[in-house]
Amino acid sequence: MNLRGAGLGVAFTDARSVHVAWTDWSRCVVAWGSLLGPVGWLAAAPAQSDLFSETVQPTLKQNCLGCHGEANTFANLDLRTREGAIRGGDRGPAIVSGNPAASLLISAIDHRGDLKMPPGGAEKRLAPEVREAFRAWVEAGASYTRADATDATPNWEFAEEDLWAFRPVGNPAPPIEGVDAAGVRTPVDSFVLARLAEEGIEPAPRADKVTLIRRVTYDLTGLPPTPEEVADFLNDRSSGAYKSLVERLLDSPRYGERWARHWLDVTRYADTAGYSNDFEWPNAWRYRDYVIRSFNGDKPYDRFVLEQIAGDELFPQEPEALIATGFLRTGPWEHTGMAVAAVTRQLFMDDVTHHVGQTFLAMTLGCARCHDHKFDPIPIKDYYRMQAVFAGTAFARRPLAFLPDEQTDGLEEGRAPFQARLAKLQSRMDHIHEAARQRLAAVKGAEVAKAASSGVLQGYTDKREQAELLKLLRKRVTMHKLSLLRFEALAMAVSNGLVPEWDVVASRNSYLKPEDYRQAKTHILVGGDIQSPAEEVAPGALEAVERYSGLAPPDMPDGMEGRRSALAKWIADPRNPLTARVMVNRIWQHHFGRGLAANANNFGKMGGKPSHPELLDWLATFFVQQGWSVKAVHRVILYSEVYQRSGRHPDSSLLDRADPDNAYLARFSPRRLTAEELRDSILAVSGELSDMTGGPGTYPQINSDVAMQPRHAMGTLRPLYEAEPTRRRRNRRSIYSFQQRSLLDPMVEAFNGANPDLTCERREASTVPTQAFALLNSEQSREVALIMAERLAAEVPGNPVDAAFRLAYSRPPTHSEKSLAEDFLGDMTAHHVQSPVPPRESPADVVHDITSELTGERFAFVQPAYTGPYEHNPHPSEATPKTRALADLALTLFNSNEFIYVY
Amino acid sequence: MPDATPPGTRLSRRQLVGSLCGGFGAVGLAGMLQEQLTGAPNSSPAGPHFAPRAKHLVFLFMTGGPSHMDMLDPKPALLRYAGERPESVDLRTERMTGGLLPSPFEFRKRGKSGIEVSELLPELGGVVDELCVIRSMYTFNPTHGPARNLIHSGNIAATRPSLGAWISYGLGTENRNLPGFVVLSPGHRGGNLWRSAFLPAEHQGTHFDNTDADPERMIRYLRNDALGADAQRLQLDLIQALNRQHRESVGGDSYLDARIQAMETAYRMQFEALDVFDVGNEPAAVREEYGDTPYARGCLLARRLVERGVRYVHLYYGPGQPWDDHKTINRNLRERCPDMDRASAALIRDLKRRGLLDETLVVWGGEFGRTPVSEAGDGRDHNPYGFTMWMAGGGVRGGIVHGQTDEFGFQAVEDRVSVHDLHATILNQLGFDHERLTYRYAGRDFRLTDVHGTVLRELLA
Repeated sequence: MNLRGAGLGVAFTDARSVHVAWTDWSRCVVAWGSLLGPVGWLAAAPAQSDLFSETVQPTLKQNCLGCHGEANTFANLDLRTREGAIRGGDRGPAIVSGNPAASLLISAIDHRGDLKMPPGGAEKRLAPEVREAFRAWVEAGASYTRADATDATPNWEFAEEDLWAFRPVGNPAPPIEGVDAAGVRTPVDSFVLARLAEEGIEPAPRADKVTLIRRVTYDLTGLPPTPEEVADFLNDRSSGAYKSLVERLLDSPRYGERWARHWLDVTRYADTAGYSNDFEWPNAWRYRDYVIRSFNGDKPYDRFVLEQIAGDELFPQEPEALIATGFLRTGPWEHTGMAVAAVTRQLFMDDVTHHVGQTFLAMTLGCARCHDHKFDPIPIKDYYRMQAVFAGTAFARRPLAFLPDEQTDGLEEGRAPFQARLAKLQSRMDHIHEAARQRLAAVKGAEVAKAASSGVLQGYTDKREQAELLKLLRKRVTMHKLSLLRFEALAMAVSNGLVPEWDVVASRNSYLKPEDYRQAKTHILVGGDIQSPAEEVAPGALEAVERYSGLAPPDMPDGMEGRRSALAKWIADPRNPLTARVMVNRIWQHHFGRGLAANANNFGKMGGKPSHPELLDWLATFFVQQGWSVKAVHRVILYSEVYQRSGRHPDSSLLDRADPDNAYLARFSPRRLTAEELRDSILAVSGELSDMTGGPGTYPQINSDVAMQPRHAMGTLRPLYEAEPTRRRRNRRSIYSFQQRSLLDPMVEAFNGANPDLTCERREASTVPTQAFALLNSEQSREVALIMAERLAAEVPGNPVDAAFRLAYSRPPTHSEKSLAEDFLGDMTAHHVQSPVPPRESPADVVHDITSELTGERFAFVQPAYTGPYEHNPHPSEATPKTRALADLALTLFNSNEFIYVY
Repeated sequence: MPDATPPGTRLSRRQLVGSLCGGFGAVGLAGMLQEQLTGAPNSSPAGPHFAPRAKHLVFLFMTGGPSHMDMLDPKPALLRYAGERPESVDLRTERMTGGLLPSPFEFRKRGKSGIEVSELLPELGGVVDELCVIRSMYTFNPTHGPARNLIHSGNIAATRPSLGAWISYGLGTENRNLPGFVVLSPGHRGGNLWRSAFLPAEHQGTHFDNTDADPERMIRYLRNDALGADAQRLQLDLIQALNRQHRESVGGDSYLDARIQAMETAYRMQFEALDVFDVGNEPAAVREEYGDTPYARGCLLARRLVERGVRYVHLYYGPGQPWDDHKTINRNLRERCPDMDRASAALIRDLKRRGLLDETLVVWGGEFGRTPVSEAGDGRDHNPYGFTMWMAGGGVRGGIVHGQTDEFGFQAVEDRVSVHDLHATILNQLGFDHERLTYRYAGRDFRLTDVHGTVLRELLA
């Protein structure tokens, strides 16, 4: 298949194969119905005079005029009027009145000639009844009887209230009227109190100190406070106690780990590339650590934007800025020998266009990929103008020495097991190669045999299973070699145009060449389909921003170099109405559980309108005035009374009626811990959380069933999941877990972890029985509970119940809780005395069966459960009945609502 | 946190649990018992749009792409042009293929309808008058992963909610002790095929590996293997007592209530599920009718689950891609078809005997079909352009054939049915207008069929 993309100016030769990776993830559902055209109501044929208004006109409107009449006139064809249709476009008249057989429009909708409309292949062909109606209509003279068909203005009107995000950011003064100054700590309070006064709702009182320290510690670090930290805060009776608490937390390295997680959710971060092979992005972790460092160092947000979009162009001498461009590439992407280069390239182009729009501008750009945006003032042209910014952007794995701030301590230790496994794989592979080579030499001579590739040798193995085994080994060798790159001083970055020595695409012979980047042209792709290129576009940004805010469009250079800088500067411009609003809204959302505008990724018509528009603008202005300091925004929020309110309102029945969603913030909305917080908290209170920071992704212990399952990697089996051998390496914070797109930790999945294939604006917090199984029955939580029990038994043998509650809940147990817990310990100890546990079973080898693609036979592959030494967690068989009972108590606390919810 | 209990009046755990049961717990439990008695669904956020024809769906999924020309779509022209590549048709697919490969299997007219069925499927031939055979399916991607995503979720990327999640979201569950959406997959977990994506996570499929007939092993993590039922009850009682005290101290909250209920459901499910999942509880004659392979037990289990109110059972034939016959297809089909044929037919007969077939829609098929031309001499390549699926029960017409492929079985040419059309029709039978079963996520409405899909009214009884 020699297919090259339309965007690269080369024609297609085989239309069908473009379906190989055709993706329509961003097609928008139209709320009012299907785009497929009217079908059902045509059962009874309408009279001739009704054909136009009942069938032809709605079909034209839904399927044709978007490109040929309203916002665009592709191929110079305008179907809005009869005159336009008869005059036709580049290919001649669309309609010959009275002669359907000679009308190009009819042959196009019938898919009879090379022109097939609407675009999108057979699936998009109009229903036979509709096509019949068109034929009859042309036959009868193609009359446009309805006046509104000639209306030249597109049906694309926007209410002012839907355009708020495009309007310049205001700088409103904090309101004074109706605001009790005693309740104002920061301007945030003024805005919220004024609104509450309007609604006639009294705010809840301040939360107690234990609640506050838990709330703010989780909020800023994703971890519970230690009992010592709680005691210090309770004992600090000074007026500045809360402020010093907030400052301590903002200075903690744990802060960056927590807030980077939010950013990585939005930027669809993962350590692998997804799709069939799910190959590793070996140096992605340096981008993850860059994000953590940026938050910890309070990097000005405008700089953060510039670095991620165009760090290589703007700051070529600064290593941080090169690492930052990893943002552009952390999405799912795959090119295989079976794929079409233009289609694969388009995967990246669509991913990056959509995610730049979502991340920085909170615009659902993907909706404008196939057609003008249905709800927002984003024509399809803007989508492709933004896309053109990235036309020359190539993947680059650039050599880049590790920075002093980067974690390099564990690299050697991490590398060793991969090297050991690779050596084993390679030696097995060599063995098969050698035998095959001899066989090949006997047939075709020694010269041929010497030069033969592994793929050729596969045809000369002595048994057919050997060929399948060879395929498996080869894939694993590739995977291990990729994994080893993560320990090298390389950055996952981009370059303008292909730099051969930085090239990262495995199947290069079928992918783009340097000249493809140099010549890259961007066309509007009708229907998002690379088979349907329309007019060429120049790089640019959103015209609506200029129209509604007055900000001039980016100053785009002529060549490829500098396009991203121009876009990045336009985004980071203080006058851009979206950028600062979007970021302060994200910050607000993570403090309060929902944004001032409810959809952090959608500031368009379909996103939630701001509950406090003036506060949003005030914060955005403040943010820019404070040098785009994220921590300044944290402070103005965290110091407010609004943030410190109790979760319980004295008049809950009034509140349930007047503001069930707590949009006006009369009280604090409790929230469930995220999956990562839950795992990290269990490790933390057990004393097991590792203090290692940064570096390549780590492999935590996961459900063994899932770890051992056979998983495919394009035609063969991928290696088993192996947890890190030492407790210190595997029990690190979840942000350091290796994010494999094809294998999410089932515990994280059960508690609504983010799907890294698409941007995630906000975590869901569902409640299902399967979560109870994961948390109560899984071996991981039971083993960590035993670790906590051993800690309690060793450190506080006299009063473990008291200590357990202080660790888990930041408070001592009540009398009744204590008596319940002690009864429970007694009962469970008695139970365990009666029920000794057999010793740990050593893990058995795992046999995976697949149907061989080469032989059609079953192919079994045996692999040991662990390939190296493994530091086990403690096992109940090694613990006393009393300690086991304590573990049961610890597990009970992990599963209780007070532990899982933050107030 | 204030302590309401004065020192000295030390309540025992059992007293406290007992006293609390008079409050919230009793209401919750009574409510749930009521639902079980009346069969009323506990929650139906979207609710059916009109009276459903089917209450349950069983999808028999043949991973890998079964060969329609060898099973349900006879093509005598393949014999006539054996080994040739006629100029008139473009038979190219993604790999190198050879000439046309005739099917060696004899087709005979079966049942009153006289639908032609291959000798590979004698038992399904016996129930062919219940089957609605769609010979004109097509899909949009020739690669397993994307095509599988498409048929499971309406989209080739792995980011959308699965069909089962949509159904669970639309209908809720009938039995609170069991999940509404069950996935049976021998030896394989591919969690993202039954994901809930942006739908609330309670709608995700609950997966069971039914390789082993022993329910204890099938539901490995359902059951706590560290504690027996009594000890677990002790633990749960303590959790619930703590939860109720916590609820008192922080005020009422629907999330907290939901979680208290979810813990109870989880606990009860452990025991109900162990009974339901034990096909050993079936009479020997029934077990014999289905057979004793993982797939056969899966079919029997599907019936047991449907009978107890599970909305959707999605059953995979086997681990990996068993129907992906790139080589030695004839031998493979001879080995693989018998248990598939026997159990699938037994499921239809069994559902019918119990009066469940009317309200249970059974769907059979894979992510695509196979080519009429040979690959590697004796295999067939992937074919997304035309393939066969069948449906039975649930208000679809039995004993009919819908659509056809070209003379070689390569492309669907008449009454073409896309995966979106199939989804629209399935949802229709379950009482949903597929254009109205939407979910607002990230500021826009999503649906299973995206902007596609037409209900195949001519297939409906």
